[in-house]
Amino acid sequence: MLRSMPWSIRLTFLLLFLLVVVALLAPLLTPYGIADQSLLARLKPPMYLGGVPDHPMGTDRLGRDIFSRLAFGFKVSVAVALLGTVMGAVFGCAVGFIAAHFRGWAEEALMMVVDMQASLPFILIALTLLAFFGNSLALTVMLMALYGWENYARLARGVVLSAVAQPYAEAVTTLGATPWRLYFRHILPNIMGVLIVQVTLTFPQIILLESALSFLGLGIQPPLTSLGQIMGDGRDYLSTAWWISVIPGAVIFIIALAVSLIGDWLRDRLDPTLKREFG
Amino acid sequence: MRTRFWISRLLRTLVTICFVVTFTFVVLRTTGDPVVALLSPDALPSEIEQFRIQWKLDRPMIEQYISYGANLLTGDFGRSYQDGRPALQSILERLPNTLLLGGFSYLIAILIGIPSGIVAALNRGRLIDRAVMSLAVFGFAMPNFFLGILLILAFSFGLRMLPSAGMGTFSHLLMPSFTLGIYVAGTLARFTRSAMLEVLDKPYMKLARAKGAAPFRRVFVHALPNASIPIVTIVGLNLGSLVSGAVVVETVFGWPGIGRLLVTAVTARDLALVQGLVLVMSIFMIVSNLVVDLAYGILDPRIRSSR
Repeated sequence: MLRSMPWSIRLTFLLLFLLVVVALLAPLLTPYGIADQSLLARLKPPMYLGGVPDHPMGTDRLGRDIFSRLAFGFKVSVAVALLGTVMGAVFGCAVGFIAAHFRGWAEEALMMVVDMQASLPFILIALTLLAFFGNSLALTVMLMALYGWENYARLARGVVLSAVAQPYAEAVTTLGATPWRLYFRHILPNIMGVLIVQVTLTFPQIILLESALSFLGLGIQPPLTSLGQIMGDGRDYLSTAWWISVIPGAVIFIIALAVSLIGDWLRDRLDPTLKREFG
Repeated sequence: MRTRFWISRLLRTLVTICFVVTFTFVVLRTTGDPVVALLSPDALPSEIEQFRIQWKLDRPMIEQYISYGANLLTGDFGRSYQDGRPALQSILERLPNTLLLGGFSYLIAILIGIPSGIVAALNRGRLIDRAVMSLAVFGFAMPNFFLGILLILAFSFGLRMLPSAGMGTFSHLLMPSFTLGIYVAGTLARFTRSAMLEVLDKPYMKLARAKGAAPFRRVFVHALPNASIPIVTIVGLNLGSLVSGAVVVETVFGWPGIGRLLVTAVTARDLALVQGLVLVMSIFMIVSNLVVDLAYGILDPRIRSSR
């Protein structure tokens, strides 16, 4: 697999790896905490653009170091998105298995909910829940998990329905395996490939969703911070301090682009019947 | 057969709308007293009493649910607690602005997306094809709020050509609709390309060539109409991304539409307004999906007869 990896995908992996390493090492590289203010060094531009090496990416309106905040926000954004992706995948698969197991009206009802969620823009659902339940970190993570679960449910249901008709499933059942053992030990490993592709394609969308919500001031709340939130913070200072918004925006773009490219590549690799849509 | 298809499609639309109404009803009921949510805080005791009777809040849940639906049908979504006006009134005031922005964005998306998809398909594998498709991937991963900010920096603060916020003149419309349209354009380009590639291999294209039809005529008279079904589907399906995009883009550019109204309502937790906006936007979505489905029958006689 590694040998056939095109150079562009290798580069993408390298880029993501570097981002993660820098974010993890950031506390060692800079002496500033994410909330440390320096009123003497407010709205300082990045290094090489008139700034000082003390703040390589400049500072914001309170003199907080952008680089330190960026590294922290990166970790929060990625952690929230990862958690949401995994929870959504597990929940969606479980719903799909349940629908396929019970058939009948339970399947009808579950699949109807799936269709409904698929037919509405998710941001409407997210904003409704945020308005009625009020903002919290738990709700934000929940929303990320709620995004895209319907795709996993469809996928898991379809696979179970076609798999139970196959000889291996029949054999395992004859040997006395319970249905749940069949689903999780025998069918799930068989769809792992498709599932991983779906996860890689959903992850960037969740990153973008969290960033958009935080950018609007409805996602991650201070004192915690995320990439989208730093961006939203800098929106009022576009004319005087563009770097506050542009640097986190670029990072969001790079993550989304890199993971989408990897997802597209994985999909093409794992599913040779699928024609390359673009190249 | 045809009427059965139309009827089942209409029924599914109604069920979806019922689902949305149920969703807001359940959310509204699980978060506390609807009186607090839907009336302004300075409402008189007599008003509260009348509200309780009108929405049947002293009756069993099922009756409440039915009267909730009935009230929504008459356009009563409650009152905004920020200004005390009926929620529907605020929404209808802002709706034309969003329709203007959305319509113009769609125009941009179609004018950029479909031609570049066709050009890419006709030059399959060449440099121009790769360029168009790379741009489409870029557009897909580019967050619209980031693109909006870059445009503001370039055209408002850098070149001083376009206003950064507000509405009124044509130049106010350009940046927000481009930001909103470019994402849909990328998706459209991808799907137009693959739909065209599928058609270009068909025997009737060879026939058209053999009988001496000009390239222009082959593309627009023979190929494009046959590729139009998937393209129309994508145009329709992307209404959703237009709605979600409007929420963000209107906020970035200070465009006074219902998307920005929704964000401010959610921030202020103005529940009557949120509920009204979500219902109006969802129903708009659901109905336009229905229209797209019905448009197939008109575009493709094969679908009409097979159903």
